[in-house]
Amino acid sequence: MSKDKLIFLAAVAALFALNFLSPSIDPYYYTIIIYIGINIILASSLNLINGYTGQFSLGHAGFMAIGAYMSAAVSTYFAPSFEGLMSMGAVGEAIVFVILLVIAGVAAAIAGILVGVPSLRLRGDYLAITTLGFAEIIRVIIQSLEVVGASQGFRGAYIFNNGMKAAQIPADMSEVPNTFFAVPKFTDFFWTYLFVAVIIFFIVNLMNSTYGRGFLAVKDDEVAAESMGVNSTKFKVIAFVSGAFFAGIAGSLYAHFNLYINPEDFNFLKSVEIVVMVILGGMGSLVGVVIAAVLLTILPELLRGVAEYRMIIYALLLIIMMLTRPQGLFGVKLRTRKNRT
Amino acid sequence: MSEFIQQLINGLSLGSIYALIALGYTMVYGILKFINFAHGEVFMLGAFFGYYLARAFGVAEPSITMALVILLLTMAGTAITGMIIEKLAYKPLRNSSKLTVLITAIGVSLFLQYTGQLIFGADPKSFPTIIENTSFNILGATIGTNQIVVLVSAVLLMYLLRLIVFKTKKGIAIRAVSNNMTAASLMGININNIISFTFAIGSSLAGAAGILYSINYPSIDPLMGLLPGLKAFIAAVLGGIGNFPGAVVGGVLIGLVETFTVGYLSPTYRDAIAFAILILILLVKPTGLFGKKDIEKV
Amino acid sequence: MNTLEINNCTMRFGGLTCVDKLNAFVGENELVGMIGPNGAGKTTVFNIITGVYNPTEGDVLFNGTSVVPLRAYQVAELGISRTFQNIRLFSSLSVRDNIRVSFVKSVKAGFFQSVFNVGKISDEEKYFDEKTDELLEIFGLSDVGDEYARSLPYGEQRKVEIIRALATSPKLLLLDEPAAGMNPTEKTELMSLIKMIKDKFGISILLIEHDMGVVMGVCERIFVLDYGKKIAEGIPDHIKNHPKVIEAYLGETHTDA
Repeated sequence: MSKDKLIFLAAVAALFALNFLSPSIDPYYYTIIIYIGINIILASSLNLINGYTGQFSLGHAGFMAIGAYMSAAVSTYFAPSFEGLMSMGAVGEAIVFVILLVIAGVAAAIAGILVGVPSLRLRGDYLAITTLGFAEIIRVIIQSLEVVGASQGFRGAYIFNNGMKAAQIPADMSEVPNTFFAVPKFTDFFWTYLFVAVIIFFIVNLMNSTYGRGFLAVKDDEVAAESMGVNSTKFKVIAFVSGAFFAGIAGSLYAHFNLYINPEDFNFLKSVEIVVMVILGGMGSLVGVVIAAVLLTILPELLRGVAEYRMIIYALLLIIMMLTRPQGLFGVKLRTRKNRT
Repeated sequence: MSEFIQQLINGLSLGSIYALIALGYTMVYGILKFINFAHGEVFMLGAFFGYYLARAFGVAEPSITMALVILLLTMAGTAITGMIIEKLAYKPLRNSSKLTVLITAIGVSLFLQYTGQLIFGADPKSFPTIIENTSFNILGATIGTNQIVVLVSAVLLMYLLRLIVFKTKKGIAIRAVSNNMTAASLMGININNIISFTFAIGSSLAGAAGILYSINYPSIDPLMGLLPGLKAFIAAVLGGIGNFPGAVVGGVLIGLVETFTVGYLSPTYRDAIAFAILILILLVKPTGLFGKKDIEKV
Repeated sequence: MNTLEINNCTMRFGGLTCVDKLNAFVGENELVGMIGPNGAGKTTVFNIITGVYNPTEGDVLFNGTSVVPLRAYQVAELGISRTFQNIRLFSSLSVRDNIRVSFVKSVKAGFFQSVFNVGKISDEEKYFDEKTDELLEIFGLSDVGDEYARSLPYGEQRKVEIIRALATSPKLLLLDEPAAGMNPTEKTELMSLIKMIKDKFGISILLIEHDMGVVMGVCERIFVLDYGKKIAEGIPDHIKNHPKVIEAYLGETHTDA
């Protein structure tokens, strides 16, 4: 067994052990620790798209929304089907959660293909606006979907004795007896950081392989990369799909921790927040982006008294960063290309 | 039928506002080849300048003269704001990668939105009536003085822009710079001046659009610029970015599609429809309706 | 069969004809030069061969297969590789990594194998590493393998571009002005290098070059482009004294201009 796989397994074992400590942690800090993990997954997955492949997605929250809603909806609407597994205790719950995570990831990855393929012809600012548009469309669609609570948000599903299912009790069904299935709490320290470990393992291995050179080559110079036999289309789509997959996982983790999701949790500002993490850390820098995700999750908590300054600080971080150190805190310097005519 | 005409009038008046904003996007894109993400916020500032000016003048009785003074002062104000933004945020990045400038523009946009919230307050404000509103009936549809004022001012401003761009020295310089910056600079054109001037013109149009928008939709707040900004950008892309008549046509089309979607489909899709158009146009004809193709030199 | 055959190729951009009914070929293990004044359409010919542009008319055959419908990466997979006139190395990558990009197309391991590091993958990576070492050794660049490619002196950057192209194991190598910006010593070295590549790797080479010393010194056959048209073709001695070539270069009045 190779060294990196041993490190990975050791990390998983350590997470498992550490998880037993979680009840002794103050719930406020515990929540922050979970959000840090989710944000690391989000920022690292966006880094695959924006950092390593040099595209610019401004709609990462859209993928997260798909993961969150898929996972939450399946876990509640199909709750009776899962009852057998759930009654088996911790192992059964783990199996259910893995199924939900996979569904969330795959659904988001399919959306990633839908966004990625048309976006291939676009660069820079056009791509940014298009991805932003996709994310907005996803949000608007969720907002109009009554089955997941529309703009009211989603807590769980009512299953009526006559077999009907809904997110809210309709007026004409108020007399029919029902069972409410709330979004189950699955996410804990172990699961969150398991996926933090998975995505780090994924990126390290990918970027160290010859295969990974393809992404960087496409970022640096697409024409030269193609001339060396690199299929840039394939690499861009892979980046979009795997980035979306992990964003979907992050969404699922979020849904099964918060137990209530609202379309507004996944709006443009959430996408911007993830982008800021990637840019602050340095596009294409694994360590930098992880550190930035940690810092930017803690920062708003420290600024709690002056919450209205939070977005201003984000904005200034972006501007000052671009003016002084466009490669981010830990990134490799981007090549600047002079305006050519 | 009257419903149709009503939507048509609403769409035209909304569309002409989008067109004014879209012109600013197109002008800046033509020269610097980047999307000035903060353009929607200049539009928002226009609305707020108008709001504070109207309050300062204490418009007890709406009058055309007063409205005109407010409009012109606001345009001057946003023009200066646009120039300052360019000087501070974009000028130092003249030789940076496009991505760097784009990110900066997003930063400027967020900065203006949230500083706006801090200064003006996050709650919506009611824009004062600066034009007396009376309604007329045309073929069963209601058209307000508001809408007439919006349409007339938009057309006048576009005509003015056309005069500036095609008849003045500065205008010729703008077109020269957007055609070939290096060559223009070799011909003795001061590039920085022209870029500054372009931002001033584009921003003044956005400021005017801010006022006209607020006359029709009098609830203003610091985040109001985001969506009209994006829609106007989509309008510019639809018309072919860098193309002036394209921006106008694109703006009017987006306005019409939006009002018809709201009227006949569902208000839920009001904002999504513009993005759907964007994705469609980029897939089918990325150069827009009137754009021309660039060949990448290898 | 000829390695490369350009049949009646025309390339127009709007109203501008860059390449005009060009017929040319490169034989097996042949070293051919393409010369012509600035703007004659030489680089455009390269871009057509490598699939960056699709010709307006005509066909390009590589070992009998048309490359016109192929995308650039597919042409590279088929066995044509190139360097660029204005060096296009991957600026955020080291010299070694620049070369490793050329192995991406030969990676046998699938995406998931690469990510989860299973099976033969490390053998494969080891093989690519050895090949990279070998190439660096041949070109005397072993010490700079870990430098950023863009930080090297100009002459060495040109060499790295050639190595990167060779690493794709091409059967036809297109060199776009390899001597540009080199001093006389470097040029002499480059000439022996080009000859060495041809012999050692047994491949065909098509060379664009402005430096007549280099072109005449290494090429077995030369064809000359002017305004997108082939105006002369033959062995170096024939070209040297060809009146049309002299006219094109010295800029005598053009009858058709």
